[in-house]
Amino acid sequence: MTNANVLPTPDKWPHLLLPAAGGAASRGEREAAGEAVVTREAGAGSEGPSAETVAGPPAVPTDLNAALDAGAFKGLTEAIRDMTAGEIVAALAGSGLRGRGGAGFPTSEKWRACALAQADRRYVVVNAYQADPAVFTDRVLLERNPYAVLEGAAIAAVAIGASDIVIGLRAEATEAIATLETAVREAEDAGYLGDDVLGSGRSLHVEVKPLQGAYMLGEETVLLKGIEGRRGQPEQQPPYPTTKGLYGKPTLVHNAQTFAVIPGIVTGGPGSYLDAGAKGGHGTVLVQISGSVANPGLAEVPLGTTIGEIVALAGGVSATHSVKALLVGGPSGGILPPDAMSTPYEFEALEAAGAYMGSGSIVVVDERSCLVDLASVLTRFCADQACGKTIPCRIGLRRLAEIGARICEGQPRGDEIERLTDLSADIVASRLCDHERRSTLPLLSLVRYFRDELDAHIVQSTCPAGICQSLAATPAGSVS
Amino acid sequence: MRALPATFREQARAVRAYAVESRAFALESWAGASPIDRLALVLVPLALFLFVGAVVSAVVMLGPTLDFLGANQPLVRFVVVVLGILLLTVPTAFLLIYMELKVIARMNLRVGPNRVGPWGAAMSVVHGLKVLAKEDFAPTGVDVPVFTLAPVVTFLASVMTLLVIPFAPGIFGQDFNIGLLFFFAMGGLSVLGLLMGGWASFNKYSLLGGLRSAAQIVSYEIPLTISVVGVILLAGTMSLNHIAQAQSGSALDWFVFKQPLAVLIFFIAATAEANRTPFDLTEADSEIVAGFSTEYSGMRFGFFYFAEYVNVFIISALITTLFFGGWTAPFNWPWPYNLNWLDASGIGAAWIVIVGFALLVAADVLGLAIWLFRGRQWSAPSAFGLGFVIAGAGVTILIILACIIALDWVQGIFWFMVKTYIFVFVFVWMRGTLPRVRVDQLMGFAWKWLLPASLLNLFVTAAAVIILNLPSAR
Amino acid sequence: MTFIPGLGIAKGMALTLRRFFAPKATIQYPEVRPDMAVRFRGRLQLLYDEFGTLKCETCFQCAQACPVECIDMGGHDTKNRFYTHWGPAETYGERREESALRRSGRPVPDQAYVHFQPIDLVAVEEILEARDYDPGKMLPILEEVQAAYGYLPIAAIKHISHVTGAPYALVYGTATYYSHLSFERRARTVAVCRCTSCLLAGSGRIANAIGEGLWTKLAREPVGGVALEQLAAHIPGAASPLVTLDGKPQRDVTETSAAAWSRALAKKTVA
Repeated sequence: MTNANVLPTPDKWPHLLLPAAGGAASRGEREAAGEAVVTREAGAGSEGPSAETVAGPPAVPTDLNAALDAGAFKGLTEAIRDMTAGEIVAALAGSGLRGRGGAGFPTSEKWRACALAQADRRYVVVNAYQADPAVFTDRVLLERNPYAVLEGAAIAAVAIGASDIVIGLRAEATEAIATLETAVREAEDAGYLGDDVLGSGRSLHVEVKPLQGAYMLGEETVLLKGIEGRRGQPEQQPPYPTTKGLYGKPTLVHNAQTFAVIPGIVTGGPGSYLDAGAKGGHGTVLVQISGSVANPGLAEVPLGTTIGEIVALAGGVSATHSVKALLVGGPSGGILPPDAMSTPYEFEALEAAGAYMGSGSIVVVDERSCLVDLASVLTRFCADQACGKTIPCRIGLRRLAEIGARICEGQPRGDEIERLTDLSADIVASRLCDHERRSTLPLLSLVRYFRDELDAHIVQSTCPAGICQSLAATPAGSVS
Repeated sequence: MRALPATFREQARAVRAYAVESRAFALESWAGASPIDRLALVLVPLALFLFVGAVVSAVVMLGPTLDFLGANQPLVRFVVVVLGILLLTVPTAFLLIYMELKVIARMNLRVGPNRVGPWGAAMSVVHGLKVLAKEDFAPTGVDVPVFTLAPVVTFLASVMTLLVIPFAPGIFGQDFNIGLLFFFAMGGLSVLGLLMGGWASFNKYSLLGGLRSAAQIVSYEIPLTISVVGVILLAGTMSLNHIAQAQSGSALDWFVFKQPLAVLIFFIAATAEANRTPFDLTEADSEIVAGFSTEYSGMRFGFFYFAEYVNVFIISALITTLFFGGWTAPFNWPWPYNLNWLDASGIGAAWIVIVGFALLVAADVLGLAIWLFRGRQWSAPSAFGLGFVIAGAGVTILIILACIIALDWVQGIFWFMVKTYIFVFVFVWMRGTLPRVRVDQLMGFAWKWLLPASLLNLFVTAAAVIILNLPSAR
Repeated sequence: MTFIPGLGIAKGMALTLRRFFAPKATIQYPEVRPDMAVRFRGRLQLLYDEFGTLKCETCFQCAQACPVECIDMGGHDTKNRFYTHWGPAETYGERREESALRRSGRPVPDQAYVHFQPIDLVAVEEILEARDYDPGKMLPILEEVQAAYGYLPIAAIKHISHVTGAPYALVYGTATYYSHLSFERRARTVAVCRCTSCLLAGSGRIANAIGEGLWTKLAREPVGGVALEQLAAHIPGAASPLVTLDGKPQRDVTETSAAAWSRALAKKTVA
């Protein structure tokens, strides 16, 4: 099991993805209990938004029998035997499921496009490659709930008419790979995958493909390239992967979290999913909270929960420090002010605030950190991860990083902020993939929310947090 | 054609096999050899065999062979003439092509081909080989017999005219007393070739080009022939050999001074006859691709191509014969000078030994001098080689000079070639300078200007001959 | 009649005859090389920005785009100490011939290039054999070659390219993209995590300090046997900032001690 801290969440919150943290409130207790939690399916969630811990035989996540008892592969059976492809897609559309990869694209649209594309072969690709180096949500999901992901991918394959499923995940996630391979073997032995699934004559082959070596592999077209073994540079879309994806065939690419909830929608109906959520969002998402909090870890939160509630899950900021900013979206996310604690954690609201959901990372920054330095190194990081295909990314991000570095070193030019915003606007306007747009978010959100800190660096040549070495450090705590 | 590899594995195997193959000349089998390899495999032994066989049979059968040749002089003459003419055309064409490339380049402030051989001399050979090596195909829909025969007819028509041109006193194919008429008759046959080519190509643009070409040639033939009649009147004969002899003496005896207008008309009309600039619109690339020869490629096109250059040579030859004295020297010089001491009959075969000995001695001396004066930078074999080359060149030049002085036919050829190539140069010069005329300008010029001018020339000449009572007016 | 017939022709022909004897304007390349203007756009020239840094990012786009495949990546390091085959683009004359051969459908003969160290190709052949010489499996092939040799030799890439038929630029582009493939043999690898938490904790500054001690920069080719690179993923549960040596977290490397630690490491590795 990956050494990730899964935070306990209120019982009234739906537990669609991870097993319910019933009872045990702390990490230590749960470990002592030997991970005696049950792999659940959303089938039980149809009883209403309040989910309960279902008592069942203590199971290892890869135990197929325990999973079957809890309702695994019921959705697949229904999908193969009773439903047509159209009905499956309709159920999906009714549930309003949006992709959990970060962009929030309506899932059923992709399925429809893929099913309609003319081809002799289609693929389903599960994107479990978490590009953010410090977020482990997808691999935890795969370790604790592998059958949900497999079943979701299988239902997708049945709906669009594919027989090949590829799961792309990090090669560093060794436990997740082992778990997944065991799960695949068990499911094949039981007839839920492999040739002649459930006696229907269809075959569903699953390939677990560990990938490594590039940050960009999280982007869907780059992931496809990585699976094909080519240089990972994104492609112009359209043509979308649903028309021309892996090996040129129509491919359905979704995040692992998206696939994990599909069995529940199929068995429980679209309504079950619609009900599980809060304040306009549907379903849940896995979030990782880190930074200056008492108990950093990951949790499953309903979409629409406010950021403040999520931070509270992790124990909140310690008493000796105060929240200076919230970094939402990982290395290429936005730096939000403390007021953003009331922002609902949900696609549109975050975009409007100038952040991004992405891998589901929330980092709490306290007053000891310099935001300009942070934004500068984040932009540098994003620039270094650029695949190099387009000029705005390859050169523009580097220039942005240089602007940030100059500000931090106390050598700003006269028009740094104007240059920064112009350059960011150009990069966003001429981008090929979303990495370019998101990489401009750290510095742009600084300009939007933390103008005073920028001015302190540029105009007054001081670093309030005392981090930027070449600038006159003022004692931490005093605000200029 | 080797089959394409079906798998990457096969391709890898093919790559490795090729790498092994290319390191050493290895022909495993007939089926595996390329066409060039096969050609080489067949021709080289055959040539060797034929050569050895010819040498052996010549040596063995020397006596009876010489008797046979002596008894059948017309046959021998025929064979020699035909071989000579055929062997003359291709090198001439090569030389002309090379000249054109280099001279026009130099006029354009370029250098022309200078990489292929020494000073680019192998360029024509390469062109010729390229034309030979191309695929010989006939496009769909062509009339294959006519398509195949058209270049042959054109080429033959040009080449046959070489029969009557006198290169030197005694060196000519056949001395018809209607030689000039024969010349124009054969030249006119080329129209047939053009029309055949244009028609059989199954291409409307080729047809139009062929028709235009035919129209051009036919309409310029009239001023051509009429302008020449003046020369005939002056010389009193149509035999080209006699016309050349009639201009012997000094340069002032040449007909160019007696028929200035005729020269001009003939020159212009002949340029049009040969499809040369400025009258080359039927084969200019920017006008109609290649006119009647658009659909031709490979050796078929090669024939058209060579025929055109041989044509240039022929009309230059005709101009020199008719107007510039043919093989006569421009100034009186004591020829043939009887170099008694060069008489081979006295010394006989020892001549060869003497010349060879002199060559070796000269080569040694020169080589030693080069080796010494170059500060031993050159190795002895290189120095000797260079000495040999210089000595050989020297000896050759001396022999040629001796022949020019002593032998009247060598001298005749020399002057003939000099004058002909001067005119070839003028044709090439015109090609490098002048713009093309339009077809209506072309036809108008022929009918409205050249024809009346040539008729005028004819009347004036005829009147002059009668009034001045020239010896030929009989 | 003011115009004399034939005068124009005569003047024209006189001009060309003059030109015939005039000195020629042809430059006999390659014996004589022309003097090109500074802004001449016909040649591949690398540009510098206003700071004096080379603008070339070695993004490989020019090499991938060139239809004649005459561009490759290589050059000297910034201190002009050694030749690296990973750097700004330059044109290789040999590549033109190779690609012309390939485009004509003929197999490309084996050539040993001076820049690349020859290696024993048996292992590469075995790997290719197992993978069926399929250029579609390029990444697994490269990973296996790296596993077999300890690094990815350029000679192996060349061999793979001309045996499978995949263009060299494509194979090279794949090999340079993935950070776990390396062209240099690395004795030791120091990896610094650059996730957001670690960056907050100052791992950027630690990386710079370590770089100074190792005479290199993050993700640049190493000078000694120690490579400095970015950690692919934060080890779950490890504290920030995270520095690993050959995969093992080093707990005693902080912002202040990083430089000294890396210098000691460099000395140890060389010795």
